[in-house]
Order: sequence, then structure tokens, then C-alpha cells
Amino acid sequence: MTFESLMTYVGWPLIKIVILLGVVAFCVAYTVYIERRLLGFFQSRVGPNRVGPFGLIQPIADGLKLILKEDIIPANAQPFLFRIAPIFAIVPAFVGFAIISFAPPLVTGAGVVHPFVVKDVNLGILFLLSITSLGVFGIVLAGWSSGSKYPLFGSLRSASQMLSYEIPLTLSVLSVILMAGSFRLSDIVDAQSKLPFAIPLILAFGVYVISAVAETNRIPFDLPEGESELVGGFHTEYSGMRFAFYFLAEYANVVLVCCVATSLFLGGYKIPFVPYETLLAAHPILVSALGLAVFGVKAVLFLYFYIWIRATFPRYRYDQLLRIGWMVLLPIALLNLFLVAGIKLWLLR
Amino acid sequence: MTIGWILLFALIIACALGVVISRSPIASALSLLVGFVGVAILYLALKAEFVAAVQVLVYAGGILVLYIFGIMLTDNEALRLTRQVHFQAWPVFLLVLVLFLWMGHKLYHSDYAATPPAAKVMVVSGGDQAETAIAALQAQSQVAAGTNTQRLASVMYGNFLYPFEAASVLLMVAALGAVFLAKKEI
Repeated sequence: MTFESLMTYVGWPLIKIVILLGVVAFCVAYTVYIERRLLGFFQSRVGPNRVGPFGLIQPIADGLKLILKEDIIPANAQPFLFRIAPIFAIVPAFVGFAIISFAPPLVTGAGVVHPFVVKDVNLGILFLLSITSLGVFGIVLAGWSSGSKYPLFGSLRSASQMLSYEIPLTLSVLSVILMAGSFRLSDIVDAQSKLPFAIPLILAFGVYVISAVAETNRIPFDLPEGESELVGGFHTEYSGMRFAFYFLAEYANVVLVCCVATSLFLGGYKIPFVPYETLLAAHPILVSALGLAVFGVKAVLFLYFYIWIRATFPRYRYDQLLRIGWMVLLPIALLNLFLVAGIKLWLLR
Repeated sequence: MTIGWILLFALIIACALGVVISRSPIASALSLLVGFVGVAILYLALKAEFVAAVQVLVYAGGILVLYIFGIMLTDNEALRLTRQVHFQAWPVFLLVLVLFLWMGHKLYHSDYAATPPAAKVMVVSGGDQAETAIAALQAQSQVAAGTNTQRLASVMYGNFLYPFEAASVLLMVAALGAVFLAKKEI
């Protein structure tokens, strides 16, 4: 194996993965900070502002605290499963980022293209769905192996919630796939050059947002960790770094949902109302930089919306949660899929 | 590459054995999970990405979670006390071994090759016909060009549409039947 092929198949992907992991971990840490600050403002209080200017070093202080804490394994727990369960939660959340195109590919010279994605696989969004569907194991195994009641109930609720909401989520993503005619994320983004899918597929977008909130177990669907009934839900018994893994996984999933929503519904790195070709003619590096910035702005706006939801709604009751999933979202998602298929078949020939 | 294949097969077989042998049901379920992922990797290595993704999405992410659900809600102490190995285990093992060896022998000595059967028949009958048949097959695969997923879709919703629909109806009936059996009153 020559040096060049080694770099193509091992070196560059590894470098990309390391950069992506660093950036994602940074974003996740600061998502927590942004959420706490914004929740403070929404609730007419200040939020964390003591550590560093505007409290900007707060995430690092929190991380240090969690690393230094004791890692407790309860006497009733099943040690092996208890130890590996957080890995099941955190790995899918981070692997999902591998297929997201953050910026238009950088064209240097004739035919030399550097895509801003770890691997733009053919399967794209299907890969993401199948990987993230494994995240539920982290929660189920945590609840079961803790050997205590509250985690067990929390994880049971969580598993049924995640399985129920995965169906409308997948159906809403399916309508995007139908419109774009491809699983590949870069193709889906390209298909939104003229119009972001959020406008024609408004129903699917709504279903996606609601089920994504439920999939990430956040208010108003945070029944799995409803403090008033279940102490802390599936991670009640966890402490220290293992708890931090669940915390990180939850916020990594939030960031992932923002990135996916940006790519699928908000036009990804496409700049609204500006054709890609004219920009590319102007300056190739500028296009990529602008695209990256546009993607970031869209994702952060969506994140703001997500936190806004959390600050606005009270928690649902458990039967209400499942009823919304099966009797409201699922029919809407199915109807939307039929409509999109019909439109695609007869109008967009 | 051969070492990779052997390791993958060893992993899958070890997991399959783990599902059957292990005493704790949750360990069975976990080895089933690793086995599903191993089979998905096998599909990926065979360039069937769509099937691999569906394998993980449906079996690992869906059905297995329901299994673990069932395990969590059942009495594990009672399960642990239940005898897991049947007294017929050894005769059955011998029978399966004989069947396996017979199948392996047949497969090893068969003439399955990369050539599609239609072309092979033509090759046997000989001459120009074979060449035209191969050309026709190549043309057919040209028609179905595109990504693996697109080819799968055109086969499934083209050639095998009625069997596909029949399978969907059958699954629907099974789901309705399950609901009917589980619910006391509807």
C-alpha cells in the first residue's frame, strides 16, 4: 500500500474525524451553556454568569467537576452492563455527524474536490436513522442494569416513547427522500437550491420537529426523566463521567437534530436567493466559507427555536404523549407522504 | 481480506452461539445485537448497503428493543431457574452436524459460479446463442444501472411487485391478529 492510498483511505478520514469530534464536542458543551443562558433570559433571571466573562468558561468548569467526581456503581447494579451502557448512548450520537455536509465542496484546481463531510455515503440519511436507532439501547440497558425502580420505569417509558416517535420521524424524512430522489445528504441539499423543503413540505417539517423533540427526550416530552415522578429517570443511579456521557449524548443528539433539520428542510449550506453557480464563479474558497457560515447560522437559529420550545411548554402526561404520537403525528405523516408521492408523480413530471 | 472474512464469520457464529447458549436472557439479547450488526457488516462487504441499513434499523433498532422490553418485564429469577438445555440436545446436535456437513459437501462440490444460470445454460448449449444471452444479460443490468438501492427498488417494485404486496398484506393480517389476541375487548 503506497503512502498516497494510505492517506486517502486512513489518514484523511482520521484527520477529518478528529476535527469533527473536536468541533462537535465543543459545540455540545456550548449548547449546554447557551441553553442555560437562554432559559435564564426566558425566565427573567440571569443564568450562569460567574465563571469567566458572561460565564463563558462555565462548560469547562462543569466538565472538570464531572471528571473529578466519584464513579459510583450501586450494589444492586449489574456491573458490566452498568459500565458499558453509556457507550451505547454516546457512540450513535457522535457517529451520526459523519454524513452531514457542513459546506459546499471546496474546488481547488481542475477536478480536485475537498468535500466538507467525513463520508458522503450513498445511504446518507438512512445510515443516520439506523445508527441513531441504536441509541435507545443506552437508555434501556442503563435502566435495566441499575437494579433500581426509578431507572427501570424511566427507561421503559423512554424506550416506548423513542420507538413510537421513530415512526413519524422516519415517515417525515421519507417524504424528503421522495422529493429529492436520493438518500445522499449532499443530493438532498442540492435539490433545495431553489426552495428549502421546509416550505413545500411544511407538514413533514412540523412532524419532524415534534418527533425530534420526543426522540431527544426533551420538554415537553421529557417523561423518561420527569423529576417529579421518577427522580432522574434512566440515569438516576449514574454519577461522574458516566453521567456526563448521558448528558453529552443528549446534547449531541440535540445538535445532530439541528444539523439534520438544517440539511433536510432548511436548505443546508445553500444561501437563500443566491444561485450557487454565480458564487462559485466569484471565488471557490469564498463559497465554502460562506456555505459553512450559512449552515452554522441556520443550525443555531434552529437550536434557538428548540430551546424556545423547552422554555415555553409544560410537560405532557404519559398517555397524552403516546396518543399524540400514534393518533396525531402518524396519520399526518402518512397523509403527507401520500400527498408528496402524488405531487411528485403527477405535478413534477 | 480473507482474514477479515474469517474474523467476521467467527464473530457472527460466536454471537449466534451466545444467543442460544448463554444463561442470562439479557446476555442473549446483547449477543443477538452484536450478531445483527455483524450480519449488517457482512451485507456492507457484499455491497448491499440498503439491506445493511435496514438490517440495523429494523432488527437491531426495532425488534431487539422489543425483545429487551420483554426481558425487562419478565421475572428474571424464574428464568434463571428454568433449565435452558433440553435433554434432546446431544442427538439434535449430532443431527444438525450431519445436515451441516452434508450441505457443506454439496455446496463445495456444486458448480455455483459467478455466471448467471441463464447464460450458463446457453454456454452448455453452445455457440452464438451463449454470446447473445450474455449480451442480453449485460443489457438488462445496464437498464437497472444506478446505485444499489435504486436497482433493489426497481427489482422489488417491478419484477416482484405482487409478492411484495402479498407479503405486506400478510404482515398486516398478522399485526391485526396480534392486536386482537392481546386486547380483551376492542
